[in-house]
Amino acid sequence: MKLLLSVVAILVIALIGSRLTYLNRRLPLGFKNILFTGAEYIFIGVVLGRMGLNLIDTRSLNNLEPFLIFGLCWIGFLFGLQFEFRQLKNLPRFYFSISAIQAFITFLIVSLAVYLSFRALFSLPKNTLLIMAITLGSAASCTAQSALAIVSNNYQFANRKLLALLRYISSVDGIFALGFFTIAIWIMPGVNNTDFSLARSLRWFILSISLGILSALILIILSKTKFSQQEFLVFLIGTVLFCGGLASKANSSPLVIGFICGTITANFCRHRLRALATIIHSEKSIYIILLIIIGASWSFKLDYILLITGIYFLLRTIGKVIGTFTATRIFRTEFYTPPALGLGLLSEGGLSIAIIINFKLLYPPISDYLVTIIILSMFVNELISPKFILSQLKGSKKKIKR
Amino acid sequence: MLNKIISLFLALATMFFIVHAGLKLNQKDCPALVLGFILISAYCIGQLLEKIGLPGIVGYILTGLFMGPYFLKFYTSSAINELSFINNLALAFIGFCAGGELRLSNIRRILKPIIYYISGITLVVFTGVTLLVFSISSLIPFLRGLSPGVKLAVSAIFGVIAVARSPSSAIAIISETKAKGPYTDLVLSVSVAMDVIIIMLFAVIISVCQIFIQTKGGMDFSFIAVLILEIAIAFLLGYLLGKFIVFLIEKAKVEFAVVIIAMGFFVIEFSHFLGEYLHKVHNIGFEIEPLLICMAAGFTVQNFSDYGKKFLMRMDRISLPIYIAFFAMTGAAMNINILRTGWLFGLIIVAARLILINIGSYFSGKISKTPTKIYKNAWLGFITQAGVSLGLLTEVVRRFPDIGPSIQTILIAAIIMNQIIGPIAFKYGLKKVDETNV
Repeated sequence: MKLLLSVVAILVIALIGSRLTYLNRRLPLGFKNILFTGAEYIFIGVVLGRMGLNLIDTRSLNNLEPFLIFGLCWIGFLFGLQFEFRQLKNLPRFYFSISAIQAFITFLIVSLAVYLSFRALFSLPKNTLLIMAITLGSAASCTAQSALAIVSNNYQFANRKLLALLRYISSVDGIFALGFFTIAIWIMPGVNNTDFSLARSLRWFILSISLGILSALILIILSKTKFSQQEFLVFLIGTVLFCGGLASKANSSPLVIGFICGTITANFCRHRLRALATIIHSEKSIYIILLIIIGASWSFKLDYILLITGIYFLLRTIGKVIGTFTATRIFRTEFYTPPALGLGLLSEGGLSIAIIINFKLLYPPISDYLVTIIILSMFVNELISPKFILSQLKGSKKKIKR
Repeated sequence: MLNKIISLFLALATMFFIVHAGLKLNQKDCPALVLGFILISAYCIGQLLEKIGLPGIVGYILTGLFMGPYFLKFYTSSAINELSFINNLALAFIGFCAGGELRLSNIRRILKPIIYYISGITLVVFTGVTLLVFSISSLIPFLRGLSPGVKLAVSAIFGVIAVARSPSSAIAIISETKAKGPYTDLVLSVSVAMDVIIIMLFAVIISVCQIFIQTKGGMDFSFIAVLILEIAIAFLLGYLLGKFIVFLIEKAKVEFAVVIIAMGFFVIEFSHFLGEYLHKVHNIGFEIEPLLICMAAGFTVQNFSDYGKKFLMRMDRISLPIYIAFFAMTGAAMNINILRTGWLFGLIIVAARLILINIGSYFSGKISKTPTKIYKNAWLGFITQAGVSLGLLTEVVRRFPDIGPSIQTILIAAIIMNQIIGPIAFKYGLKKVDETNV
């Protein structure tokens, strides 16, 4: 019976999904954005997972761990591939500084407030609370590009430079988020180490960096000779799995080590553009499967969680607004930047989901709350962010589509 | 080539450092690391072997074997067990590919030779191996002292397993060499069809043998009806699944890789669930072979939709890492202790099987008037043996717990040898008939 229900559920979801694709043009921007980010796959995961039909049960989820490691490392690798230093140098340097300041302030506000509220609500060890707060702070500091893409697809803007700034921030601030997340693991590498040890953490840090560099080296050497596209896929999948696996073995983050591997590849591999094209081609599939897995493993308990999510959402919004305001006042641009420009940076898919999945992988016993906060907040943010972007980019006109 | 050697060395050195250097790392098995390492090292070793004219898949199998628990110990058997899920997904993928490679128009064209080859090889190999084992039964320790009837029954089990072959190895070699032509079509069609026929033949033989070996009850052929029903349901489900895949790609615009992974997962889970459910609730031994469902689905997409070519092209794009992982894990799962115990009788069976396949296919080709170049080399494509044979052996052990493990030891040793010899022979055959396109 359970199986029959699952089959029916999958069929219905597929049908509704396909219908929504057709109706896409008539949907409000917020809903379009949710569909665009693939957030609905979380619900498919919920239906198939332990809160639903339990078709993807705990055993299956354990079996899927290699895929989870692979997916996270793949996303980190893709992110790293986009950091080619020569390309970055061509962009105005203060853009980078603005991104850094807004990410840092958001991180600081969210981490601090979450730490204090978690300390009041839960009786957990100090370090555990700290890494939970830092992880939420790092997830809050990054911005997804989906809402900006949806809005710019549907509207024409008078202030194109402002849109370019928002795009730049949303494409770069992830690097800081990964940096903050690294601090969280650095404090407590491995779920069994509840006490902080500087020597252990330093050793872990050096090992993690070396593993990322080593994996990239293998890929660079492999791709020095002539190869087919199929072989290149083997190099990429092999390297990413190897890199992710090494990260997991060293109690490190596949996401961060994948990022290091990707950055090295972007700057030292002559096939970086081919790698980027291949990785981007599969990105959506991998992201969708990660969303299904996170949905299936999601355990939602209705207690403080809605309150905490509300606080998190509010703090993130405040952080983005204050952070962007401060940054644009320190580094003044030649064009006008509205005081609440940070409201244009609320979109929160992609990397923050990856960070939270990675956290779940590293610290399973304490991850349920964090997963719930990020999933719920992501839905709200994706829904409202197009409206807020439009509110900041005044004078925009709707594109007339035939 | 130097680059591959350096990469291989780097991967090996890293693994040595991580696994054997005594670092206080996460002690848990890490299947992702094993899989990544296997992919890189098997690819490099496969390439090195290809340089000397051997098929890449032999390199993949040997890598899996030598890096594993019996030699370099870079991973444990439990890590490989944890990856069995991915292995199943790879098998589902291979099933989709094998079905997708079968074009009705090609099958119609060579239907007569296919039928002759299936009947000829089955008859000659089954009879030959059965008689051989029966004639040397006094030399096989666990058969000594048994009655002639039991000896004959056990010999028949050896005979039926010897008939089985491996469509997955065939499809991997075809993909590696980009082979196309009548020889390729013939080998693939016969291998896939044999996968269905062997299950039925095995069921008949094993039930007859049960009467002789366990000397209880009369003959009950009602299972044949169940078997036919199982196969019919597998085909029907495969057809529906194929149509559903077409719908998902065409209408729902779902990502192709997601569709294939999801469908593979679904088929495997569905088959296991249904088997367990019927066994527990209704005490019915009804099991639908997931590989058959996937083959039928691939066949449906290829022959009953406009997406056949596109489907194969997309599958081909992602096939290499899947083949490498699948065959390397096959190698990693090989039990060397079994090979040590059963190698001698295994070798005798392998040698006899080679000769018998040669005879069977030679006459089948002659009678069906297959072109000389093809029928003289056809036998080279029918040597591979893998998954189905191992699955059937598990059933032998389940049915005959006393002598089953001994039969299994000898036959696994033979299958391991055939897994290495088969791909080499098939690649050689493809080169001889000039159907490779690399």
